[in-house]
This record gives sequence, structure tokens and C-alpha cells, in this order.
Amino acid sequence: MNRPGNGLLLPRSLSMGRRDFLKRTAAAGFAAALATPALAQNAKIKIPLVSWMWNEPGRGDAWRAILAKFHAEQSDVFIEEAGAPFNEFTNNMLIQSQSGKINGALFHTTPDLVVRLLRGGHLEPLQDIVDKLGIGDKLSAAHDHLRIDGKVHGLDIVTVKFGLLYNSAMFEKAGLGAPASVEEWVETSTALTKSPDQFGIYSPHLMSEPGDFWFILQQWAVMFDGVWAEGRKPQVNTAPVIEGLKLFKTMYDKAMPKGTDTATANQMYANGRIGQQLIVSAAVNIWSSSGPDIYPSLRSVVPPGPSGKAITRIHPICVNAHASDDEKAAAKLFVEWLYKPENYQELMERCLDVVPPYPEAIRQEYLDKQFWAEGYLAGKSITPLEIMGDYIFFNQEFGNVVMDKFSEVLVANRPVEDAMADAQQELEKASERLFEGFTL
Amino acid sequence: MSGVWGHSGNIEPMFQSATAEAVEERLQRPRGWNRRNSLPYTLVFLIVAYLGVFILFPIAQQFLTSFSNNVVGVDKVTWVGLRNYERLFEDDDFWFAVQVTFTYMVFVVAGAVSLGLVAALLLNRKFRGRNLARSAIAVPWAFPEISAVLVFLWMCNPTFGVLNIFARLFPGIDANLNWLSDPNLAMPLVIALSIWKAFPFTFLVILAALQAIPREIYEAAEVDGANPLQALRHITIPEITPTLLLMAVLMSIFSFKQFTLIWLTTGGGPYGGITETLVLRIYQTAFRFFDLAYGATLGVSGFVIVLGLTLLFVYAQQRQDRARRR
Repeated sequence: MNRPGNGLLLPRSLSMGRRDFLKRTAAAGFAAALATPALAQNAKIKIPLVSWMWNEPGRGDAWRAILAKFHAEQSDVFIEEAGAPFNEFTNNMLIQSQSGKINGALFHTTPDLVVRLLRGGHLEPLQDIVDKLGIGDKLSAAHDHLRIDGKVHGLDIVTVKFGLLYNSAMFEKAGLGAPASVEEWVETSTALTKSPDQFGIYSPHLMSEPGDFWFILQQWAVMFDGVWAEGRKPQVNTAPVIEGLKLFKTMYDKAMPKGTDTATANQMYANGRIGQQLIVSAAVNIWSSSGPDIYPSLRSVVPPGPSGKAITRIHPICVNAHASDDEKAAAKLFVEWLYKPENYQELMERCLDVVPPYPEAIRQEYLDKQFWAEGYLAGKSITPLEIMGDYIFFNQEFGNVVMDKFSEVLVANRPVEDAMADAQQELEKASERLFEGFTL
Repeated sequence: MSGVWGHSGNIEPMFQSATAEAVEERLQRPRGWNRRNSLPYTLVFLIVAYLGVFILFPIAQQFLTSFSNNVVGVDKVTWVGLRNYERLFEDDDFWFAVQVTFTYMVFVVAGAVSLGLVAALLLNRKFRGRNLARSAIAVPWAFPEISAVLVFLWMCNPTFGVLNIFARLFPGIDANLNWLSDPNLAMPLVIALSIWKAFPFTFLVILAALQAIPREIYEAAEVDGANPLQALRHITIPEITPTLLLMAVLMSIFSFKQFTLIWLTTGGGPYGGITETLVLRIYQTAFRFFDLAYGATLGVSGFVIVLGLTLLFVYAQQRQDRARRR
């Protein structure tokens, strides 16, 4: 029952009139409309990048630009912003890890958080990426504590390293040069102090800001080659630690705005009322936007002290071991792309960072322009693992004991030796509980 | 008129028909689910579901966690029986935190209730600008805690805080005081801030109670020759005692749970846990030291203490009610 038409023999059922054509076109259009989002979704694997950095003005914008570049260069993987502000980030991640699985295939972590996630089995090995890029032997030593059986489980996206960041304009006005020794440092800090208008230095020292207080206090002992613990043995009553804390006390008495919180001190620093801060390199990014008046005057030196050492912490990007295979592959694709020198260089420049995870990750021309970076680059790196031993897993609890006893030194003039002897005793007692049944 | 839903559209029956026929008809209806009967259950279900999910489940979870060794990212979670409770009883820091908590609570409750009472008595009198004064006194309650703390921290700053300007007017004070870093001043300052923040609430409630006392009682007392102090002692105070008790209970619970003001001002310091209440200890243990199990154990102890306090106050109130009826 065929009939000819345009040289084709069509079955009657396939021929159609105008009405049929309109009906079928409408139906096809409707079906296509329904399918479009699904097709778009299938066209790319979408994975979230869980981070606190989206909420940070400088870094958030830098990461958005990097993601835009990644999306422009390929169309298989789409990465979305996810996460929480820094103050809630760690708790959110830990609560998720307690439930057995963290949401998101890709996440940023902090130095404290990453060791717990690693121990909890949440991190996928990234050694294949490192091997593929041929950077295995170039990767900074700060990655060592992220290795299990030689395989690295996280890759640094920002290294924060201590230095003494000072306002050179204030120094010049007072006819002072950058301090090269501890004695010089005390002298210049004292000379800069004209309380209550101007102070030589600030370091957090309030129990209401335990995070900042402990984070920076650790560096004071490192300047004298001190470590806070070796393995499971606390070392808070050793000579280098005592020396570091005595120096802090001297500075507190002579050159710090006592009882001042970090936010107020930062404002004072931005207004040129505080001369120096022992602070990490990543913080300079803040001054470039929030302290435009002092930013051109910022310079750094290695934290004064006989050791010349500076604590260096990495914040790794990690792939979730519990994500699906497709998600893991997508996440690794991004990490591999990010770790190519040209992309990582861009990330560093956008973030105003100066400590690369491997030498080729930073351009010398860029580095030469960072007038404030010299001290940060010159310090000898030491990792949190090296200064905290096995207490790296109990860093905050350890710090709380030290800070509590040291506060007595600051506000009640208790001798440092006595306070640290108490702290040592308390920590040794606590270690029995903390490490009971604990295996690395 | 049969069937499960049969009568539900009929508006007439329930209270109108007292006729035997209607009663009989109603009795003949099948027992079971119907729309009218389901409403209370639905409403109760919503409340129970809410309480179950958001209150009871977390409490149960906390109890369970307190019997484990749950330290985040350290070991596999296993049951450890009563070990955390043994640690609790041997933990000097816990007992010190309980002591600090009660000290803080007693002073805040006494301060907030008495200040609220005095303010309410004063502002219950008629004078020009009374409404403005009442509004102004409520401001601290409405002020966000974070902002209040920031202002307070600046005022207490040992280097350039305004409090030192006033302090140095006093004879014998020639150096700036350390205020929140001084072990003798930290707790009184935190208590003062807490009272300032809390008393407008007690003021408003007590003021409402004062306004509910019938005017005639005072008029009768006046006719009998009672002076204002006698009227206060024999009429006002007895009339508002239930309100004062209620305020004491609420303020005890509020001050027991207070976290923001203490954490942001002293963080439990200046040292030795001088201002570290149980709530701060729970937070530190669970969310800074990641020891969820012991944090939960401390939380259970806090729950028991608050429960005990509440029951004590309920008992006191009942006893007082009985005495009044006699």
C-alpha cells in the first residue's frame, strides 16, 4: 500500500499531514525542552570544591578566576563553589567525617584538619598526579606528614610561613633599621613604643582568642630552635622554649598594646600605630586591600633569633576517598590541571602568595616584584609535625595548657620556668589519656 | 449516616441535638478515625515530631556518645562503658568549672532580678517621660551580644580603654588596670556585663506583674494607715513572688547556658579557668579539642544540673503556692 512521493517509498504510517506535522513537532519540542537541562547536566560532571576561601575577598576572587580558566579550557568537569566561612569550616568538616562521609569530591583543608581526615581514611592518594607531573622529588618537605606508604594524600594550595613583617616607614621615621638579633629587636621595639599612641610590636595574647594566640606563640620558641614536643614527650620546660617565652614576656611588657584583641591590633597596624607583627606570609594579602597606606612600606625579615627557622604550614587540596569513581577522576583532573606550573603560577600571583609547593610553581619576575617577601623566603622552614611531634593530633588541647600557664606569666608575673614546669607536668599527665590505644 | 467519614460533613449534631434519637444515632456510629478526632492528634504529632527530632534525639545521641571514646579522627569509635564518667568525677577542672558556673549564676540571677525589681518599682510610678525611660531601659536586652561585647572590650582595654580614665580618678590608682586580664576583676566584670544584658528582661516581666496587682488593695492598705514601705513588704512583694521565682528559674537557666558573653570577653581566662563555666568547658572539649565523647559527658552533667535546678524551683514554687492557699 505504498504510494510514490519525492522518489521515496514511504510507509503510509510515516507520511503526515500538516496537522500531524504540527502535533509531532510540538511533542518533539516539548520532549526536547524537558531533556535540555538533563543533557546539559550530562555534558559535564559537576563537583563541588568545598572551601572557606570563597568568603575571603582576595583569595575567593582568585579562586573564582582560576576556576573560570579551568572551565574555559575544558568542558568535561564543572566545579562549583561550596563550603562555609573559616570559623565554621573545620567543625562542619569534622561533623561530616563523624557521620562517615564528607560531602564533596574536592576540598581544601587546614593543617590541623588534614591530619585528622587522613587518619580517618577520608583522603584519596594523589601520588599519581605528582608522578605524572614529575614533581615527586621537588615537592616541599611540608608535604611529608601527608604521606602514607610514600603516597602523598593532599597537595598544597597555600603555604603560610612565618616572618617578621614590619612597617619600614615607621622604622625610618624613628631612625631605626630592621632588627638582626634578639637584642636589637627588643631595643627597636621598645624605641618604637609611645603608649598609648604607638607600639613596637603586637602578638595575640588573649585567652578569648585561643586560635590566634597559640598559632603565633609556637613561633616564639622556634626562633630559639625549640620544639614543643618530641614524639609523645612534651618539651615545654626546655631551655629554648623558656627563652622564647621570656622574650615574649619582655616584648609584652615593653612594646605591646596589652589586652588588645587581634582585630583592634590589625586596625592599629593598618593605621601605622603598631610597628611589627610576627605573622604569616598569607596575611600580607589582607594588607594589600585593607591597609593601602602601609602596604607599600611593608618589609619582612626572618624572625629574629639564633635558629633562623620559621614554621611553615601547608593548606592542602584533597580528593575525597569516599566520592564515586567518576567524581574522583574529575577532581583529580582539576588538581592535575591546577598543579601545572602555568596555572599554579597564576593562582599564586592572584593570591599574592610567595612560598611555592615546588620551585617551578612561581615566576621569578613576579617574586622579584614582591618587595615585602624577602624575610619570608629566607627563613628555614620547619613543619608543625617537627615541632609538635605526635601532639599534632591534639594541637589545640596542648596549646590550651601552655597558653593557660603562660597567661599567668603575662598578667600575674609568674616566672616562666615555674609556669612551664606546671604545664609540662599537666601535659605529661594528659598524654597518658590522649595516647591510650593510639597508634600512628 | 454510616461509614468512617460519613458524618463529617454534617455540621448539626454535636451540641445541638440533645434528643434521644440523635444520641442514639451518634452511639451507633462506628468508632474509628474521623476528621474531628484526628485534629488534636495531628497537632500533637507535629509538636512531638519536632521535639523528637530536634530535642530528644540530640539528647539521646549525647547520652550514647558519652559512653564511647569518640575523639574525632583519632581512633575507631568503641563503647567504653562508664569510663568517661569515671574521668568526670576525677577531673578537677570539671569541678572547678561547676564551681565557677554556680558563682557566675548566683551573682547574675541575684543581680538581674534585684536590678529588674528596683527598675520596675521605680518605673511603675507616674512621672513625665515614663514611657521613654521604660523603652530606654529595654535597650541592653535588644542590643546584639557581639556588638555589646566589642564595645565592652574597648571600654576595658588596659591601654586606651575609657574605664581607666575613670578608675584613675580614684585615689591610690595611678597605673592602668588590666581589667579583663586581672584575675580579681575578670569575673566581676563578666558578671556585670551579663547583668546589664539580662536585667531589662526581668524588669519587663516584673513590671507587668506589678501592673496586675489590683489598685484596691493599696487603697485599702492606705485607709488602714500602711506607709509605702509596709505596702511594699506586705502587698507588692507577696503578690509578685511567683513572678520573681519564675525569673530566678529563667535567669538561672539563661546564665547557666551563657556562652557568647564569657567566651568573647575572657575565653574562660585570664588563666586557670577563672571564668570558665561548664558551657565553655563543653565547647572547648568537644569543638576545640575534638573530644566529642568527653564533651558529651560534660554535656550530660550540665543537663542533670539544669534539670535538678528546675525541679528544685518547681518544688519551691508549689510549696509556696500551698502556703499561700492556707
